[in-house]
Amino acid sequence: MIVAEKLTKIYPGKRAIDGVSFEVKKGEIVGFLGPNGAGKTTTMRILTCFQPATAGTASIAGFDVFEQADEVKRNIGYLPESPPLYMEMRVREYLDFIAHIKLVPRSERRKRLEDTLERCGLGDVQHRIMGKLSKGYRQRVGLAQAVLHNPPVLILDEPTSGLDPKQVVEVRRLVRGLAGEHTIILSTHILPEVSMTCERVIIINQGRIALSQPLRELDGGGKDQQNLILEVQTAQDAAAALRGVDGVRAVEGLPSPGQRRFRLQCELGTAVRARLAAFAVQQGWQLLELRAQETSLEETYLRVVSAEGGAH
Amino acid sequence: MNGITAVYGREMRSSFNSPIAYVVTTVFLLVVGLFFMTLLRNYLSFDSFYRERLVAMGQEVGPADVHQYLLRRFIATLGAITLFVLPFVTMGSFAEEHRAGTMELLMTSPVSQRSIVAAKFLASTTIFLFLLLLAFGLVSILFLHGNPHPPSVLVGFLGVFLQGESFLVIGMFISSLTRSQVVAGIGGLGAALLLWLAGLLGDPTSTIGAWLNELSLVAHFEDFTKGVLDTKHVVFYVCFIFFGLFLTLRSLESLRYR
Repeated sequence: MIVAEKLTKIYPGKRAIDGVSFEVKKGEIVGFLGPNGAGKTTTMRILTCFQPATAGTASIAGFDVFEQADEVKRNIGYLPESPPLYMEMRVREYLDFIAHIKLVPRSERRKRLEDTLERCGLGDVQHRIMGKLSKGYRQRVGLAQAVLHNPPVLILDEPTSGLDPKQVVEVRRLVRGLAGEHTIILSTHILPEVSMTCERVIIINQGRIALSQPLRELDGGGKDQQNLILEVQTAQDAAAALRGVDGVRAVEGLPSPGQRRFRLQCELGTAVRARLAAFAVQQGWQLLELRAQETSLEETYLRVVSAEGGAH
Repeated sequence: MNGITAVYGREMRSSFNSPIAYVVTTVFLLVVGLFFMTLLRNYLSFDSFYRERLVAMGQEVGPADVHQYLLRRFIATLGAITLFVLPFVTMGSFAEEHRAGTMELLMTSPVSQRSIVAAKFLASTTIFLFLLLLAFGLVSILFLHGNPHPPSVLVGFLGVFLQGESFLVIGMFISSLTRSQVVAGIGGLGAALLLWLAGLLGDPTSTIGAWLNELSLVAHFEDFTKGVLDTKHVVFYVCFIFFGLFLTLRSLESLRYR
């Protein structure tokens, strides 16, 4: 659905992105992750035809962003970093304007408008002036603006930046709700956001793609093993004993008071956890914590970003 | 020309939702009204002064030429007032969109840049025409109580209109370069003033001075105030307006490379 090939953008004196290539399949939600200034916004601006690339090509739904800009614009919904609102307008009036400039056919306008108001939870504020709305609502109007004409591709630039935690949760839920029908690229520098909303992560650093992988392959750092976190209370040398448990491949001590917290690299499946619990009881240890380490996105991110010369 | 009506409609609504349009209208009416009143009073005292004398000398005379002694001056003044008022009509046209980030919305929507420029130009023209209508209201009083020559008045207003449209495109172009309405307003006024008085920049007897005078907006305005319609001047203004619109369009396109 979205194909970028060797995109390069050079601003006077600065190479914003350099040979960025990636592909997003239909219906996928991709998290575009990177430190500030890594080139996320630049890439998105190229994809939305706002700025042309210095070199390289990109296409959306089969249309080239440079040669067929009009078709591309019809097929995307774009939420820039700050929602593009006319503060003196009312929500409904604004969305009606959007329906016009996004060329929603007259017969569908009303229906699309009502659908979008409901979907984005804006029914209650539709007659309010946008300048008087809270930031969370403004962000929702921004999203509504992007999805109103029901485009197959959504490009969202930091949809949750500057919101309070409750609003963040709401916006994420909204974005998740859009998945399936739409192909979505969302950029962020907040790691949990990606693990919560996306299926795949593209990490961009200093203008280059540092990693592009489905999220579940990141869990546990590989395809055939998982990481478990175990904390016990005991006087014995737990690490050595744990290595003997069937299915445990490696044991790594984690910093904690008394050094009784470990990360275990284990084979896949829940059986290992059951065996570990039984083993702890059998040894007479007090089991304080035993869980699968859900994601190692943070580690991957830090590894990738710092390996390439550090975050900004 | 898709979306042109939508952008135009939004522009008009936003003009009348913001205080700027009302302030501009009020100030314009106040200043124009004051000048009209003063010119009218001058005309009347001039008229009665000379008529008394001539009648005393035993000559039968009609009233002094209302175009020559009143309307011509009024139209010239009106042209000068629009110079100071219109930059404030256009200052927000693009600067505000840049500031609010809505330019990104327009540029990533299937609306051509040409339509955006056209819609904004039409919107500011509408406001300008509204102002002209108010000014015409004052002049219409003269039709009730005297007999000005209608074609001359119309030619005069055509001149004010064409010159004003030139101020509007200058203002729009300056507004497209900045994200600050204040800069756009003052810059637009400065640029308009400079082009208005371009003739003063050079020695009028030299070649360059003559060229500069030809570029000067006010130099082409004078014949209109006399009630003389010369296609040369009409063509000049029309070219100027199109060139200004073209520059504005280029400026929008250059956004993509900034």
